[in-house]
Amino acid sequence: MATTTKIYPYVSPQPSVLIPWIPVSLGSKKTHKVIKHSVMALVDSGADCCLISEDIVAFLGEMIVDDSKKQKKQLRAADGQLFSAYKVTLTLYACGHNYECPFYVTNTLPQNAPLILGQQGFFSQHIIQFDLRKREILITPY
Amino acid sequence: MKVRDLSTSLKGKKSGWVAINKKNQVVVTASSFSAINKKIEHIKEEVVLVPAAKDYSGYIS
Repeated sequence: MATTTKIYPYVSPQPSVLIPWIPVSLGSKKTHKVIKHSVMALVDSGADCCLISEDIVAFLGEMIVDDSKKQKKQLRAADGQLFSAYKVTLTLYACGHNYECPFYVTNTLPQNAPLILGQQGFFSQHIIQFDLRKREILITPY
Repeated sequence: MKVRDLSTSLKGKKSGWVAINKKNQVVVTASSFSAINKKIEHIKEEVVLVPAAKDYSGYIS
């Protein structure tokens, strides 16, 4: 299958700060709800998995209220703090294709990173090159 | 490649969400993800939803 490399610019949300944010969309097979416009997601090679904030998941109708039904995982933030998150599977529309991607839901994400694309689920599906000098991120689906 | 400079658009926006068009202009803002999606439901131009924060620097994962 032919694969196409997508090139995204780094984003500067404030002077002297460059963030590898890319526009993506999300949907739910369960609720058939889709985010109509793109959302900036952080491409984060240091994250073991993909993470998403509760308010985005609530919008998609994928919140799990019953604690016994949650597939929980303990995760550790960069400051060493442990936090709990649970797994949902969402359709990720990114880099010109879409697929079912596992996300861990938590309300402990930093305000500036409510959607994080990490190793399992995103890096496992793409070849990613950060070229800070050229101010671009090259992403090729496998 | 030219950096997508949103610094002017995001200046002064400390929380919630911001919808930004291709010209990097703020189209709408809202305090929650659901609220911003409601506000942009009928908007025809292409926008991207960006989280607003006091400070974007110093992120470490």
